[in-house]
Amino acid sequence: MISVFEIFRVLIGLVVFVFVLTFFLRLSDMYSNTQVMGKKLETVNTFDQVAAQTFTSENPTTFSGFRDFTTLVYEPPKVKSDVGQKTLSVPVFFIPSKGVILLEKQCLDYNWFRFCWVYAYPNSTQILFTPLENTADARATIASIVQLLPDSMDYGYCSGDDARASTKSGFVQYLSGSATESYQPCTRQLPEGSRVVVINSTFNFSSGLRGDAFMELSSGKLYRKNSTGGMQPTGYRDALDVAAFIAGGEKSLEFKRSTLLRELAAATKIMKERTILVSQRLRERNKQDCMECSTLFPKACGWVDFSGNKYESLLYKNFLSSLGALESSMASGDYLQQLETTALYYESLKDEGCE
Amino acid sequence: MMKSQAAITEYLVLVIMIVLIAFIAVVLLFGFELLNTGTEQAKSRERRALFTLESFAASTALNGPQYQKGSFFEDARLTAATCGDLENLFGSGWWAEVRVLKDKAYCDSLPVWRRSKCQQDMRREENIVCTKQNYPSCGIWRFCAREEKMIYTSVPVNVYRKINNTVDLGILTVGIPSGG
Repeated sequence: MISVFEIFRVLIGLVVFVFVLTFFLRLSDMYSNTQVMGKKLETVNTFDQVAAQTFTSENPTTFSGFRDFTTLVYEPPKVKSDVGQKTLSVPVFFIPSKGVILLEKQCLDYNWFRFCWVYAYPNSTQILFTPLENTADARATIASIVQLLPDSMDYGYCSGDDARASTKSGFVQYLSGSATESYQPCTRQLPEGSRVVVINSTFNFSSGLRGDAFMELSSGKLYRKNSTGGMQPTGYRDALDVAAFIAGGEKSLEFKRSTLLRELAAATKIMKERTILVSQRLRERNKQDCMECSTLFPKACGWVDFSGNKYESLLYKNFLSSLGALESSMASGDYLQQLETTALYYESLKDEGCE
Repeated sequence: MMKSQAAITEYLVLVIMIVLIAFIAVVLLFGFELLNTGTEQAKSRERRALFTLESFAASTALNGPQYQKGSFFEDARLTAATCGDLENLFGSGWWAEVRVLKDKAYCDSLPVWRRSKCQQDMRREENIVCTKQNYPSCGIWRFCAREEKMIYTSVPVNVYRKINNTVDLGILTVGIPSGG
């Protein structure tokens, strides 16, 4: 005969069992989610760390942690993923991928300052060019862009269904020769992360041209299809503008401009004030070395407005006005001329032994 | 009746014990996770301090052109640079100091009566913070505000004294707020 107590015990036992079971099931679910989130967060942090290491060590590296991510978008300087966003510590031009990513550092030398950044891209990436008019100018432009792209990436031409890629040095060597081939719009399916850059003096987009970036040599404009399928133009002023655009479109280009101009302005200000300081002290010690160029170099740095904290403003303003003209080709424009003059006077500083 | 009441109480105590054990297990588990997160944060701050140190040491804006591999600062560049300039190069949220250690062996080569003054002058110069006014007779460069709690990393560097055309040994120290 089952007593009331026995029934009570069974009921309480069942309630407690169900409660404990539900509790632990929910807990394990929550714990596993936290672990997955933590792991992903760690992956994004590790990526930032690897990029920073590549930046400081100058050695190319690989990274393969993004395979479990469902969303991975790069909006410089932030990587947006399932676990939120992370601002990267160094300038990165990143083509997101869930496969193996190669990281490589590149620098642009302004003589008195080196602007450096890291490329991060899928290891199968190829950059293929389609110069619709294969002129010497187009080949020189391609060569100047390729010089600033990663060394371990493959480069080549794409014409119709034919795509041929080789190493960077092989392609640059090929570009220096005289080519007679004519190229057709690229129709080839390419590996993940690859980009097709179409180059021509002018474009007529009504013909439905295919490509990831369009470079209009006559106007100094870059085009890329926007989300609605329309072509949004943006001006370029140097090869790094184009390299950044190829890697990540307008956002990368805008990021490159703001980062480069900020760093360049700061470095130029340091260099200008340092030159004035050194020449003053040398004069006090009756040393006549580098008197002339010590005055010329700071004058040449006049394109950076040093007033207040926004000393990059004049440089940026000049840069934007030179973009606004959109008439000159890549090798000209106020901005590049000012940089060239400064570099020239900096060279004379070095020649006179002021450095 | 009394016996069954005692049994129920005993049973309830058992249930409460089970729930308590489950609760303690949860607290321990999440406590362990929190501990791990704290450790990760500390590691992340250490990495940031190290990265800022490396960026500082390798900066082309502070190193002379002949020393592009870094860790060879030029004193005039250090004097010309301000916290704002360097924040534009390395980002914000750090404190840095470059301190020159003068080579006092030079004083030993002087006549005895001049040694003491030479050593005194060197010690005095080592402790003067550089400004554009006192350059080059100084030996410390400091950038940005120092916080009370910071994680510090240091590395030996060379400092090229432009005006005297000599090289001094120096110590670069970078501090990152410890957040605690």
